[in-house]
Amino acid sequence: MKYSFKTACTKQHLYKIRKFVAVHLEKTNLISKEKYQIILAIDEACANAIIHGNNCDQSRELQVELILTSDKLDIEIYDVGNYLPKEKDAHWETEDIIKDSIQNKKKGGLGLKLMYHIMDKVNYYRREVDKVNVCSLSKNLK
Amino acid sequence: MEIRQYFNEGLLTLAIEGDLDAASSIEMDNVIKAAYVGQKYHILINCKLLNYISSAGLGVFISYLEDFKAQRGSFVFFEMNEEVYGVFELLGLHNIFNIVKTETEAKNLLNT
Repeated sequence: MKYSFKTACTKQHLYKIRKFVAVHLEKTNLISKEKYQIILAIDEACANAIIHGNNCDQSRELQVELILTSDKLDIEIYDVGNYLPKEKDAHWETEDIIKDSIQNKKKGGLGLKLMYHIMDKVNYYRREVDKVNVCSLSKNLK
Repeated sequence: MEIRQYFNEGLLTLAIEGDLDAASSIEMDNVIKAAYVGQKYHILINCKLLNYISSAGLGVFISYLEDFKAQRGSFVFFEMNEEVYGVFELLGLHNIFNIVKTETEAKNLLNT
């Protein structure tokens, strides 16, 4: 089944996205901790899109699409921003990011790492035909 | 998210209720900053009613770790639920932060 949710690009609406995902994850047999972590990965992807891609511009829209089957969850997040993570950020060791954050008193940088830890696939691309940014995540449920 | 604060016997307790995400982490940051400025370096974080934490919430505590350590202070988290603890575990942060089960254990840790 396919489910879709649209909201404004504001951090204050992240809880609505989490609620939308949580409702549909109730249809799976995942345990509470697994559901929580998938919600977290999607929340991180949406927060990155809202903050880094769209500068929290509430006039812009963010769309989250879930495709749920008995053995797989696919998520696509669409927005018109321009956030594509750098290759090095995705492959930086978690321990090194944390060391750097502690030493340099940084608050960000761990969201992308969480997405990679939790999901089986993470992919970003720009759809040139309509200038839409797509974050694609997937998780095997079996 | 709501943060209730109690100051007793030199220890500041912050009881967090709700979701600590990218939206509410600014408030958390302000509270930690005010504690630092007010020279309250020993902080107990009551997580009993903390439902959710994202990287933005974690980032607040990470970013102040060195400042508090330089003042011989620290954060001690207690009564954290399994899901929230799981996020710390995913990133290895359970080895960096003090996380204990009860408030008594947390107080003992800060008083030693």
